[in-house]
Amino acid sequence: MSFEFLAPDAASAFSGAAPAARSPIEWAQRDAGAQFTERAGWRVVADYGELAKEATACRETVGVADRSHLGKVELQGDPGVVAAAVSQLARGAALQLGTATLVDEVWWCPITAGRVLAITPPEATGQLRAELEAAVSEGPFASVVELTAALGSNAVVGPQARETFARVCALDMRPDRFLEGAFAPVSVARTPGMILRERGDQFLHLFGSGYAQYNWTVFVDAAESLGGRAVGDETLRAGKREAAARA
Amino acid sequence: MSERLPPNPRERINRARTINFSFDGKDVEAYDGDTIGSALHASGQKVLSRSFKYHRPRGLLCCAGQCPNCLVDVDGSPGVRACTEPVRAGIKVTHMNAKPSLDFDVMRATDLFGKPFTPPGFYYKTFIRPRRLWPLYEKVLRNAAGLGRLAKRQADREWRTEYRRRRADVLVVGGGVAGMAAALRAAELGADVVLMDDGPELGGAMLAGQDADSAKELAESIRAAGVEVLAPAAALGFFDGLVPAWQGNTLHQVRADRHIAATGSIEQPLIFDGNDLPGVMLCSGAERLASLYGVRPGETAVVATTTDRGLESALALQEAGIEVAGVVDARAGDGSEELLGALAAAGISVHRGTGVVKAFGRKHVRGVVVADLDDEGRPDPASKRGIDCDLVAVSGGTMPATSLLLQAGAKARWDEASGSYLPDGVPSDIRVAGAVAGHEPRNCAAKSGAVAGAEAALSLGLGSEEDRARLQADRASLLRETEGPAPAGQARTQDAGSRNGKCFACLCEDVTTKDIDYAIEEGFDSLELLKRYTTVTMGPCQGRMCQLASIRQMSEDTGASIEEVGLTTARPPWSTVPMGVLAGRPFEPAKRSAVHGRHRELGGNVMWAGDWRRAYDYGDVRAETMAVHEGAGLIDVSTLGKLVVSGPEAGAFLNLLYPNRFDNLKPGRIRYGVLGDDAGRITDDGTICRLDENSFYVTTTSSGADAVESWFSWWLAEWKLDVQLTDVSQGLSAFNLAGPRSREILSGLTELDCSNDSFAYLDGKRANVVGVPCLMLRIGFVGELGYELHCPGPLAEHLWDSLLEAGAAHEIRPFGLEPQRILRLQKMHILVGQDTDAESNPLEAAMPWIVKFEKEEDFIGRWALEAVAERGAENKLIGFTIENGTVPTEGAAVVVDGQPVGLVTSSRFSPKLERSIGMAWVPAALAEDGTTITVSDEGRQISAAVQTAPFYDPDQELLRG
Ligand code: FES
Repeated sequence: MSFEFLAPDAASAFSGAAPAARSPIEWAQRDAGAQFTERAGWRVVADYGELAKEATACRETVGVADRSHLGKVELQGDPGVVAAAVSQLARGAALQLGTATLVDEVWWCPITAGRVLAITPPEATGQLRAELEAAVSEGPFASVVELTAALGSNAVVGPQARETFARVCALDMRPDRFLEGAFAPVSVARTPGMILRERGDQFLHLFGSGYAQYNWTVFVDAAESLGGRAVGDETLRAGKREAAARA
Repeated sequence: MSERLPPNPRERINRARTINFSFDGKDVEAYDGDTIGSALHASGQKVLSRSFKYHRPRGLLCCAGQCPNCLVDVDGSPGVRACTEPVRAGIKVTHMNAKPSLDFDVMRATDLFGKPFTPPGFYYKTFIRPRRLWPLYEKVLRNAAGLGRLAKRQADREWRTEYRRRRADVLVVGGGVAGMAAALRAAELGADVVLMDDGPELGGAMLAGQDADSAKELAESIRAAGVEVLAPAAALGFFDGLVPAWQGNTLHQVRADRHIAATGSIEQPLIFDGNDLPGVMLCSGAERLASLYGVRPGETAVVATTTDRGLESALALQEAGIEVAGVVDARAGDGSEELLGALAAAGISVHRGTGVVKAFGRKHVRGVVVADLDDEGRPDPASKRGIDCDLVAVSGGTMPATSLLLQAGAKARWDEASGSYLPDGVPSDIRVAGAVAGHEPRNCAAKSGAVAGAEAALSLGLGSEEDRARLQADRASLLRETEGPAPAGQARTQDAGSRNGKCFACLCEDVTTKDIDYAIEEGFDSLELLKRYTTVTMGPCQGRMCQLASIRQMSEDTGASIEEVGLTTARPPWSTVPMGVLAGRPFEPAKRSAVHGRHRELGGNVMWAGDWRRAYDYGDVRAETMAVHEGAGLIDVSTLGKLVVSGPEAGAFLNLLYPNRFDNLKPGRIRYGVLGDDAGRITDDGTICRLDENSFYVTTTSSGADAVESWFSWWLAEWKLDVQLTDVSQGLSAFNLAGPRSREILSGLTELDCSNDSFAYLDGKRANVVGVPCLMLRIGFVGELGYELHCPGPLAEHLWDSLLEAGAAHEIRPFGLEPQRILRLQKMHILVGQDTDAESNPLEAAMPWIVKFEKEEDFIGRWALEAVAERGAENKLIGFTIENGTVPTEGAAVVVDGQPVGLVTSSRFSPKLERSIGMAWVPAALAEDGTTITVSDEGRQISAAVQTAPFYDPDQELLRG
């Protein structure tokens, strides 16, 4: 791996345990009373001390959860090379602009024909990066760059999620227009961003991590004005389990 | 509540529930459902405002939010329309634009005595001389002008506002019968429909009449059909398919694939002497007041009209319990026989071929003078007679509300038959329905709406063949219904003011018919000029009440036909809207470093630096500066732009972009680069580290990151090289550990050999520091031994904390932007944008060594730089010192014989060197060591000595050591 200085998971032990990675929003979360837990080398907000209210927000209004710990790796190169590598790793998936594909818990998000962002659970980031590098190690040049740290991300979940985005973004997110898996690079709250509809009323918003605290403040403020709130990872996981059970 | 009528089934008020509020400090009792205007009128408060220019008393006119007459201040928010604003318990309502009171306004003197001083455009003609008094005039005029006052304190002016974006298949503007029918039909065919209306309740004109129940049923149907109803939400304009609408604290921004304008029509006032007196109301306004709020608009009414609308209104008012003393109908012969019969049966006398010449009364109407009209509408003085009344209900016909359509690109054509401007040339994605399309009667309006709704939905590919067939049939029947005879009667104005009287063409701006005559006489004889000169149509009503009147008068005065006079387009916003709503939430996108919280904890003075929030200092600039010289300092430079440029042709790519070479840079080595444009002008700078054979790590200035990324991407697309570019600026934190003890500190935190032999100046190494993966660049922007550590943001806090902790024994201090600026100035390291401007090139900016003309390949700006090299430098960037400690202002002029020849770009006092230092652009002839230059700074003449080598460590011994 050429660019290990870009990868939070390249941390090592030095007179003690390896340092934990922190979200770019951690300062704001601490102020909001977050309880942290460690997950795949990251300090992740488990909850804000009000699990029941957090679950209600996601079910009835809207919850905003920090997911900056998701792994993000960019593959860039000749469109043919990129398509072949994605197909190899994503069990034959063919990418189409505007739509992300979920394979084995990795979202393959095409930004342009020659540029794909892969989003993965944090524990699998290193493996995905290695697989991508291996997939393009032969043949024409393609670059694999770890963007986990460069991109912050929030999940926006609940029946008022679209209304929350409507406060800050002009993307047409009507359910029959922005289908599950839809992916769009778009301006959000006057900053460059990307939106992925993961499922139902759950959206992932990606943004430059320098703007993480700003975006967090804007989204939590908008959510609160709609009766929603900040929620922790526990609530999201519970929601995911429920969705899986329903499926 | 003395002026309430008996209950009626259409009223909106709940008489069982009273609410109290105050008006000008007096307690007012209202019913739940009242508007401020209806409650005030019911309480006997008939004067609600004073007019803009003459401060004449004004009362309710339209009762529909269309005119300027009822603007009040509610809880500190000025410009609220009392006639549509619902009453809330405890609100404090006050009048605007009157001093000392609404009842007695001293500025009324402008009405009584100010005539010679206030002709149209008086502000262009008077108060001009003597010129030196203009600041005083301006103050007085500004004080006198305007409506209402904002709260003084910022905190009292702030309120939460939102933008809300909504995409839709079909947007219907207007919630009258046509709009509702359109929305319903489009939704039935499967369209996602939004309907917006400025009233609190859908139904438009139906609500105050016999069809109120059908309006309510229709409103329920459209909600049941899934139409999103925004009400009250006033559409503000049409911007390339985007229609903003104000609702409460929200600015909806609706973008639809199809639009339906069902904006209705606006009843027009009549023009006569005293037509602005409280008690003169539009027929529709009087009816709304009586019907919706159970408020008696007056005891005895005279109805003045030019159409059948007035005849209907007279019957409605009498039915509501108001005595109608007579109908004054400007038409001698036209008029519905049926209505005339009904009026006769009701005992209401109709004065045909007659007009109101004057309404009289001091603060309220006490009666009218009427006169017979000749064939051209002129009153016969011999026939003048008076009728006592306290209400003059007027109807001068209607004007289709075409403004939004005109903003959307439609045209308006004068339709002689209906006596109004109808939309024409409407863009293909817009449909027009109801009164605005000339389809006025209720059934016809509903059909018109259904046709528009079906057309909109079908054009989006929705619906079936059957639906298409039904549309054809509906179109045909609509055509039959709208064919028939033209509406009886043409709207005509009656301009018969006495010598001293005032007939208002424009109530908002107090423009009288005489003002218009005067302006036309002065040569402002096109409608556009007239508008700008007299400001007619430019007030809060945006022409709703005055456009047709001014067009007609211009036509009469100039002899041009109404069609020739034409129409002006009202600019957005079409409805009054608070500025705060337009501004929306005050987003202030700010980038923050991963350790931003630490800077705050350490007492950093955080300020803006480009898009970033940065620590300017930590409270002691001198100590921070000296720590870097004497021990160690740590600065957060995460704001730097950072690009990964990779690919087999990455070196060649950089060679083309920069004036120096990069393909020969060895992996693990660093080189400085100055980026220029085609004209050779400096646009950015930074360091470039070669990571491996194919990859380079490029840093840029903090504010230049986005521009450099765009510049690289643009050229990459142009040159089609096998290179990939990724911006990692926000993912990597970067800290500069600098100072003579920095090596010692670093050595204790990493297994890397940090000795000078193994980690030399301009080396780039990759290693973990306290377990954090880092790219370490040995560079020295601040002029001391230093290391820039670039690491993933999520691990940055650990690295920052560890460096400060380990450095404590070496007297490390965090240092901010200001100490960094002093330190870099000592080294004469330029700041792009501060020491350079849009004309600076590296040859003149003291960096000729960076331009490698010997490179065989072309590079951006080569041709321009060669030209500079050939002609020789005209100006040069030099350093200067001032022994007496004076620090000239940045931007101060360098002068020769009193004439400016250059300017100071940077200047500071250096605590290390104990003298003032700076950089300046000077003519090349002065750019010699030891030359004395003169800086002219706010009246001071300061002598400075030129120095071309860095002030500190000119031989780089410390940097390389
Ligand atoms: S009376 Fe309120 S706007 Fe006309």
